[in-house]
Amino acid sequence: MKILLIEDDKDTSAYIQKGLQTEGFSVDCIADGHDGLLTAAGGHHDLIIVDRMLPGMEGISIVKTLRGANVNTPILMLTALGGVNDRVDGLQAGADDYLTKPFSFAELAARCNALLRRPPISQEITQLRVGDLELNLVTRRVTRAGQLLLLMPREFQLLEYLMRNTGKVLTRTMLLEAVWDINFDPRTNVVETHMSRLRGKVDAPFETKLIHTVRHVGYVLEQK
Amino acid sequence: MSRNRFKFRHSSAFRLALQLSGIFLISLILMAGIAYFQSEKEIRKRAYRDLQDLQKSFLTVSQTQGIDRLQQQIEFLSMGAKSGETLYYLTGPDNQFLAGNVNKIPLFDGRRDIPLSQIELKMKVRGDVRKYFSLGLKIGDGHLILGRSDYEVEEIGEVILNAFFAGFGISLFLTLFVAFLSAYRVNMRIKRIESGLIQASQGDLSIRIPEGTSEDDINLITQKINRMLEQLQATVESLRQVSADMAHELKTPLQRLYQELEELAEQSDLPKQSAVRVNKAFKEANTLIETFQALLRISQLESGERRQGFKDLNVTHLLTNIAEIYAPVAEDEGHQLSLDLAIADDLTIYGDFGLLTQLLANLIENSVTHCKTPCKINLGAKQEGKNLIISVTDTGPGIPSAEREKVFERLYRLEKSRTTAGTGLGLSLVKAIADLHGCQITLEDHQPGLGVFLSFA
Repeated sequence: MKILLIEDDKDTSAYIQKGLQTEGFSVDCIADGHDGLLTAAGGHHDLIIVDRMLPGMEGISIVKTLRGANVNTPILMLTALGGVNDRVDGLQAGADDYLTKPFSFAELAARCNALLRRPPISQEITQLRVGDLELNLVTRRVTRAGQLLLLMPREFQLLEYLMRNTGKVLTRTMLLEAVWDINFDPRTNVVETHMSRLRGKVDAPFETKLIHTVRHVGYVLEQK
Repeated sequence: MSRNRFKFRHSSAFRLALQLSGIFLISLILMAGIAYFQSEKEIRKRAYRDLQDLQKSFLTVSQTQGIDRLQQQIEFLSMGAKSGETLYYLTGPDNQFLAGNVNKIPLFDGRRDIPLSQIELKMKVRGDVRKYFSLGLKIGDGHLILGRSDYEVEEIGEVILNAFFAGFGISLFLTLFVAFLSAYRVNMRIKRIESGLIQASQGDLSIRIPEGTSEDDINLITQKINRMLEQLQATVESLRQVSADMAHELKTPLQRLYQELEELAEQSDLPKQSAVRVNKAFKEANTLIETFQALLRISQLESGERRQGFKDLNVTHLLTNIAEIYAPVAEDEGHQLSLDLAIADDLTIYGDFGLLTQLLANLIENSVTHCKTPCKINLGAKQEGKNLIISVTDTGPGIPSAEREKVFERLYRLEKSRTTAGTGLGLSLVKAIADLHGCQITLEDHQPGLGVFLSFA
């Protein structure tokens, strides 16, 4: 897996590169916006991480240009601004995900993983299955070991998101954005509360646990 | 917006027109009065002159041909004088009636205006008569009284009155018409200025008020306001640029700090005491970042940019969503969150879903974290006139009334909550979001507890 990182701050760039290499990725680093765009357009990378503020060319313009040229490589955008509009602007320009500085490496890694293994959009899935847990997207029925589980709409959404990303660590922030459409940091345990309710229904009555907590990072659903 | 509805009586142009109409009315009344008195004076003068001529000729008759001849003449004249325009009355010795068209009339010598009530006429008076201009003269042992009715005065009075009403009516109509028209036009222009200023006060400094072509006072003010807005925009723009640059300059070192701490925390060979301290430093860095983030967010909200993403939002959906997210959270903390909707299912407001969610989440989280004992939190919506009121109430400790206004200030924290975690920016953020939506926010004592009321116009 090859990742292209376009970031002008040397320290941050080195930090991300080191971290991602530890995770097993190969990382190309470029500090200038123009050079970054040219390299990205080559299409030799599986994921592009681009900073929003760059010398030479702005991150947003790079994303827009790439998308305009039909380059569909997943793009994760980084920003130092972190204002309310930046996220929307970034996503509208065609970025797939957005991360505000400062961020923890775990958050970045989780998002990279989610983007890399994202299934092609065209593929129609009606049934998700992990072990004996089954979720039908059409009938909205959830069963485990043949037993019907009664989930609230939001619990269903949460489980669907976890199952679609089976084996991937999902951070609190990712869950908040994907399931509850919350783009701020709640001061209460919103994720923990809903997760514990979901676990109460999906895992508690059964011997094998499927939802696992990843300390300091988030959650993962998988059959270990 | 009902409070902005055009009220004519509040418009200065209309008031001016009204005042002018008043002055016009007064001068019209004065003019009519003067005309009336002038014409009465003239008519009286003429009447007495006529009566004097008549008297003179009667006197000549009585002196040259005797009182009997005069009596005959007056009898003859009285028969013809059926209209009551002229009165004749001749008495002999002991004021005994000799001739005339009057039964009874006061006897006197000289000039006098005698009201109709004091006269007993032999026939019915034609026309509107109030008094008689009368001339009395002692002739021999009796009196000769001659009178002329004032019907001309009354007639002219009527003409003047009619002319007055017609004139006043027409002029009142014209002035009111012009007043409404100019008041309306002036008001339209003032309203444009007003709406421009409101938009500017809500953060949109790029707004300019359309300037007309004429060089009148309103246009001058409009131009001045536009110049002021230009300068203000330039100032704010440069300030914002400085803040953005600062944010960028600060965030990079913050990112590095975060990285350093993260790497340090992952070192397995760290002595236990150091690990604890690194963790502490990590937490502090997080608070720093949070505060920084919130400050940036608030200043960006205050710039009003975010308003471009406003849409019509279903209120029921917005509130149900929040309640769905937070009911379990409140429950886990021992509280109870209820939803109380008294609005139409399809009611919408114009706003930003994400921001309003954050606003309400902030308020509910405040209730959840500040209520130490189990309490009831209610999220409600109702219609009050044209306004939508969304409320978050709890039965917790509340906020002392003296501190209620201050809690919206940046970084202000209640004395008792200084020890708990938080940036002191939550309610400032709430206020910024409310302001962006043109929403009035008030804190009230809920006895016991706190009530936060959001009023959307």
